[in-house]
Amino acid sequence: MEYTQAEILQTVAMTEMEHLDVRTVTLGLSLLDCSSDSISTIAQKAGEKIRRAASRLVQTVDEIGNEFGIRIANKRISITPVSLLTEGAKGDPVELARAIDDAAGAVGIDFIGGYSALVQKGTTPSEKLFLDSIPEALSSTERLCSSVNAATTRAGINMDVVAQIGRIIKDAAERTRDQGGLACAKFVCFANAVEDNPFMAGAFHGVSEAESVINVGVSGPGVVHYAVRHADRSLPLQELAETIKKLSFKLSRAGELVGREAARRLGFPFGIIDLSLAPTPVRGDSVANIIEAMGFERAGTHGTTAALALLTDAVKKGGAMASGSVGGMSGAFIPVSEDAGMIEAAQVGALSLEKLEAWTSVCSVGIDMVAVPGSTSAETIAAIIADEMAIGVMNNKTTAVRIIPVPGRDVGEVVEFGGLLGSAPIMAVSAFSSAEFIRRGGHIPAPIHSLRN
Amino acid sequence: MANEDLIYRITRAVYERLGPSADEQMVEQLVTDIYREVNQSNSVSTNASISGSSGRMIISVFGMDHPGIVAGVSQILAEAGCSIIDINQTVVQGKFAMVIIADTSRARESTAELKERLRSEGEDLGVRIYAQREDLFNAMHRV
Repeated sequence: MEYTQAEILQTVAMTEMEHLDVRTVTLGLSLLDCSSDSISTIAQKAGEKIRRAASRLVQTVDEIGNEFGIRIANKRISITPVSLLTEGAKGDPVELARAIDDAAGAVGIDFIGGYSALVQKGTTPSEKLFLDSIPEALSSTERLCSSVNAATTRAGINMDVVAQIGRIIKDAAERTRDQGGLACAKFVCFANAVEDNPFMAGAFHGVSEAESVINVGVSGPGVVHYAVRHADRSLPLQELAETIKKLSFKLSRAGELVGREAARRLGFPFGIIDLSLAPTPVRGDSVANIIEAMGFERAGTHGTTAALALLTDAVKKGGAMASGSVGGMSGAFIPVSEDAGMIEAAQVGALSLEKLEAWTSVCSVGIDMVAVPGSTSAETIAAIIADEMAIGVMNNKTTAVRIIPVPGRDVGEVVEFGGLLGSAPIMAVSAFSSAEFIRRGGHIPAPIHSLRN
Repeated sequence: MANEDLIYRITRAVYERLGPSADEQMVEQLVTDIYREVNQSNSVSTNASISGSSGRMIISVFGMDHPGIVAGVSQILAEAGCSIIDINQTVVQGKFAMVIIADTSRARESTAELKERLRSEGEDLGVRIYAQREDLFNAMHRV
């Protein structure tokens, strides 16, 4: 036989029992040709274009998933940063937000990303208005995701924007008070944002991208967890890394196959495969559990930064060998509310905000789906963001913050978001003020290593 | 690399359509445009290093052994017009395992229909039947 029984069994076990799935097939779509001097016209053009381009997306991707026997969890769309479309146009950006959201609903996808602005260096008057519209846009739509790039290694950190984002997050939380501040779960603040990220909430279709493209996000913490848990307890770490690397290779190959097939059938070019380990609330599909299986009582204790570094590096190495089209974030996601192991670790006090911040330095994104007390001030949120931005800027990597100050809740309580967003234990923030630093505003200059020419 | 044969054929077709009065510059422009269009749509489907084009499926069957499992599965394949390329079956301590590589390129049913029939047959036989396209195994286990 062309394949050994062991090979066939491994694939069947991965797809049927260990939660190997393609997390998302994301259609990147340029809306630059929808520009106009009236936001109503842009809204109409954008809605039509999304409906037309994605009419077959969900059906085609589901067919492919069935044929390969691989679950394709989400079908999504990323669009040109909306702030570029509203530049110089008259009207309310929220009207455009609603039109995009309606189109996303019509084509049957669960999230559409790109209500975004790239303002790491400065903002135009139109971008200022756009940023102000984010809380209303997120609280009056269902599927729309928003992101702001507030820093890059080349430009430094736009602290005026960081301060404003603190207020945006507070406002968005307050507007969705009944749902535990749900709007904040659809908003990310980035340093060094990537233009081809297929994962939500931070996906947008970068300006340097082509007209349309299919990007794929592969997952598989369950597969890696199973392998690490069943590996010999005395296996030295370099051999554990080797095991993870080989698995990551196979996961990536499967993901690329699905992505290319989707691109071929839909008639779009294939873009990238993002091989981030992305957890889901399902038991056994947890990044925290992988770390624990390496030899820790709980995720978040001392040594887990080193373990996470080993994990993300092994995943990247396997993926880079498997595919010539690796992009996006590529590493491991650590969203607290979406990972059963993280939730438990936070509840027993093993995992703190400080440790999550440390983890950011060695994995894809940072403080992700973290719920904090509703009484947390806008300045404290901005300060948490500033710390994450600094880690990204100084280390030449992408970092991000998705934080939810849950109105009326305090440490020890749990907030339910439901579905893929899971539930989050409220985590403690420092009781000491950072307000004076944030109120200075301005700009943190780009680091010396940005001068590379 | 440019496909010279394709360019030649497009050029001839354009000349034939426009007749002897054709303006050389216009022909060149037309050929370039058409070639770019054709090439783009081709490259979307063919530049894949991993391409999903094999017309084969791998059908794996697991469960407790009893008479009639091989017959049940192979009958569905026969009815659907699929031929068996390779088959491997073992029983260890009463546990049945079988892997079939089937050619589905001339199947009379869609993949989804075939999968559904196999799944319901599996329920009747008391075994689990998984059917997946062969390219997946090729991508994961062969470099």
